[in-house]
Amino acid sequence: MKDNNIPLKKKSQFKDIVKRFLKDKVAVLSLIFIVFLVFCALFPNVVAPYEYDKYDMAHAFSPVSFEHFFGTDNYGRDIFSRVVYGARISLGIGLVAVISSCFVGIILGAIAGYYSDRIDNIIMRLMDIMLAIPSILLMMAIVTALGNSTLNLTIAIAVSNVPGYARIVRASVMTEKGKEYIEAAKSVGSSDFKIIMRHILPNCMAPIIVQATMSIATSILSIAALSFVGLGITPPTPEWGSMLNDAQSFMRDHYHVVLFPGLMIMLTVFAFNLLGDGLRDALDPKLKN
Amino acid sequence: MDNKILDIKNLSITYEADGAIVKAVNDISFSLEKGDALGIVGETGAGKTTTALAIMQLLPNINSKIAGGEIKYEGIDVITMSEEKKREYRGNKISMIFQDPMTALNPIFTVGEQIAEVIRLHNTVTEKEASKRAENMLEMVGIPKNRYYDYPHQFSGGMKQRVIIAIALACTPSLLIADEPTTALDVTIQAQVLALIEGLRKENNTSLILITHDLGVIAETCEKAAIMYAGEIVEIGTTEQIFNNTRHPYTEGLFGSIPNINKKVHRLTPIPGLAPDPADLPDGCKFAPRCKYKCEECERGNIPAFLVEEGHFVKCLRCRDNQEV
Amino acid sequence: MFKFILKRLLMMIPVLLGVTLVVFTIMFFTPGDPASIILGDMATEEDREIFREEHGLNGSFIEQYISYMERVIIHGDLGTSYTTKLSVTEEILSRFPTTFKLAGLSIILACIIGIAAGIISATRQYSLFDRISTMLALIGVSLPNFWQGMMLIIVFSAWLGWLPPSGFSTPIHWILPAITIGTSSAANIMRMTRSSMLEVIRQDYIRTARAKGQIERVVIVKHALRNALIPIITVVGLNFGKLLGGAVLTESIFSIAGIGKLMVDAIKAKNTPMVQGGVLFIAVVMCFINLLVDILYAYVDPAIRSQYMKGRKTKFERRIANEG
Repeated sequence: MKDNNIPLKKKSQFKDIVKRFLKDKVAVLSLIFIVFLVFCALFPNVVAPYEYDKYDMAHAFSPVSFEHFFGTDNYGRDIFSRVVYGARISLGIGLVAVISSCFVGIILGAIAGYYSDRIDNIIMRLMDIMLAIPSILLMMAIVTALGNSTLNLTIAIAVSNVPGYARIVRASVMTEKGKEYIEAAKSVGSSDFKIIMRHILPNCMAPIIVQATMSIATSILSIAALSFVGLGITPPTPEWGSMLNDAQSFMRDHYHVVLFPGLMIMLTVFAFNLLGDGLRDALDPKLKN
Repeated sequence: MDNKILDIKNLSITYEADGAIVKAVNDISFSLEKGDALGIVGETGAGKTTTALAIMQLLPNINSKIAGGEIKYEGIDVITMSEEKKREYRGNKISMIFQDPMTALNPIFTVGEQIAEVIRLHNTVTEKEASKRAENMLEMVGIPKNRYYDYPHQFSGGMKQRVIIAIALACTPSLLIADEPTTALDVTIQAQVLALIEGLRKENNTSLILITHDLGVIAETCEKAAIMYAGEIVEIGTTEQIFNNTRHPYTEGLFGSIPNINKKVHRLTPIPGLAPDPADLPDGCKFAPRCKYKCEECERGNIPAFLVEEGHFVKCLRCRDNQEV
Repeated sequence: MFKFILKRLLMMIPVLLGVTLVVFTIMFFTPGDPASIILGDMATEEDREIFREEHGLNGSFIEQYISYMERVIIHGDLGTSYTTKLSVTEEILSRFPTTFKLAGLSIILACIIGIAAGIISATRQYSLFDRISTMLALIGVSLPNFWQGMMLIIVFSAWLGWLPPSGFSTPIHWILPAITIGTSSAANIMRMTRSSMLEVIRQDYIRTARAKGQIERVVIVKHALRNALIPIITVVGLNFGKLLGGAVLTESIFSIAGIGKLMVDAIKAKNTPMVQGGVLFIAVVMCFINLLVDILYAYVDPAIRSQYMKGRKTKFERRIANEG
């Protein structure tokens, strides 16, 4: 990771990373699963056998069968199709929230880490304040304040993710900042902005990428949790958490309405966590235990 | 025979790394008399530390294995001993001083506790007695005993190494292995620490295996010397024999790489090339690729050791007029 | 040590002030007039005006915030819940024991399982046990706990009929919620214990301990675990804080009247004083847990300890003083 300015080396490094990643079968498997989910999110109508809002009261609570892989819910809607459509919300919001919080977090963390002292103190105390409020309550309060919509749900999740990024970026910027090559860049008169962008950030990419993958996982859990309490998603939009909320009253008699949406959340989050582990090992083998 | 405290025969040790098997130590044999000191010299990665850890039976058992040979301590093979028995030897009969004093002490216990621990392990004494003896050990290595309750982070590197020496010698072992005990220390401290080890060793007639890069240290302290290269002992003999009748080209190279104040030389003569990759050792003599005397036969088969004079063995075909071992 | 604690307590103040400001801001901009929400459609404009006057809801944002803080700091009064008309402090204190009991039980379970599994995994890296338990831990981190709670209810209450699905009155009621809440903490603690132990086991001083002839079990527990403890304590503290403040969904699934459920209801009802007070209370609890974690660091690590208390008598000096 050290000689970023030599393109040849960079290329072979990328190859090395890919090679190491491909060796990790579990990580590759989880990547395949995630690609499949992305496909579901982009083209749900191809994968899903029914429309997500096709009511069929005559077949309410059908058990698992070839017609309905995951059975049907209280309105006779096909749970498998709803789960497929649900990937849209989870992955979409998760991705957007993570990218935006990543962006803000990197800026705040880089500034705090590079400039130390006063600015650092102000930014990090602000982050401390946000971390002192339980994230689920913070997110709930934000969604309630801004109003119940998908966009506001995204904002809430993004906001609650920012402190995590800021901390990680700050820590790695601070370690990089002290190294000789930064001294060298300063000595040839590079501007602070250039030093941060060209030299420091590229060297902090590994922990940031890993954190991003892992935080998609936690974001998906948060989305599910918030929509489980009825925030963010409005029916009939299918979302895994809100499907569980709807199912809550029937769970004692019809386990399948609870089982599959939850299983889907778990598998998705699990896959992102495995991918994060795999990426960490591939990007920085030193960190591997 | 009875006088031998340590007798190693045909010891081979392999490591497994990334699916490849690395021969770290390859068919080495040597022995050590009671009260004697043996110096082992060699480059980093030559297998010196691995040999030392094998004698201690402290090789990491996840990826390393003793592939063959025996290590006899006072006539008993330590490799086949029960784990319980091994523990009785470690720290009690055989002790080791490690290379890096900065990391060899546990940061959360006081230095006194760490010395007392080994005393209590091998002696039936009360806690108080152990503390008393640990305090005495501290004084013996030149640290005032009121520092008993200090933690490692309050000590300098040299002081830590003294504590480690105190731990190693607390149970008056009959064999002490010192693995580059001074490499990590300042030059001015190095001599002090060596003198300390020497002094304490002589007092109790402890045998010593001294692993080092420094031929000068060996000349001063050791009766015997072994030169290791790529997992093999390429030359072994008394220190005098090694210094005055150098036979192996590698040993020659080592002498050529250090400045000699008595000779008028314009320039040091470094050994060309690099040590071979232990995962991919060349056939024949491991040193052949870097050797200026290399002939065709050097790169084939197994090079045996030749006895060039009483107690002086050399693994080099240039000595083949002598008796093969 | 006392000085250190005092310093840390003082450092809490700006954070807590910040928390009140953040929460106050969010609640201020939450749409809906509490007066009409609380008093209902039947109330007249006059009634609503009186309500606003009573609860200090007139005036600008800054005026309202200052008057709120005045009451909190000077009178220690967190206000009155809009919905129950009880004092917020009373409401919180009546709910807190339940949440504390649940969180405490879960964290103890999580520590036992997580630390034990982590140690075994680390000492037998790449063994079958290690592979299985790291996978289980990763699944544990990935479980949505409200779903896990529902599945546990389905299996253990609805199907097997062994355990009650809701309530928190007797120990038998505690089992399912404690498992639900404790799972992800156990998983987190296990992962941290494993990686921290792996790190420590590689250290030279572990080899030194073995070279002394120490028994492997003692090497692991006495020499390795204590050194690995700092990151483990951090994770335990974080998780305990999280459990105390936010077992939100689990509490509502098992119908447990704890802080989490109180907060969810308050946010939904725009019960501003309740949200304010609750979040402030949770933030204070978290700050105290962080303080406790820092004190534990000092207990575990002598280097940190000597940083905390400079100029104290050494142990040796004390012993000499006692003996003489």
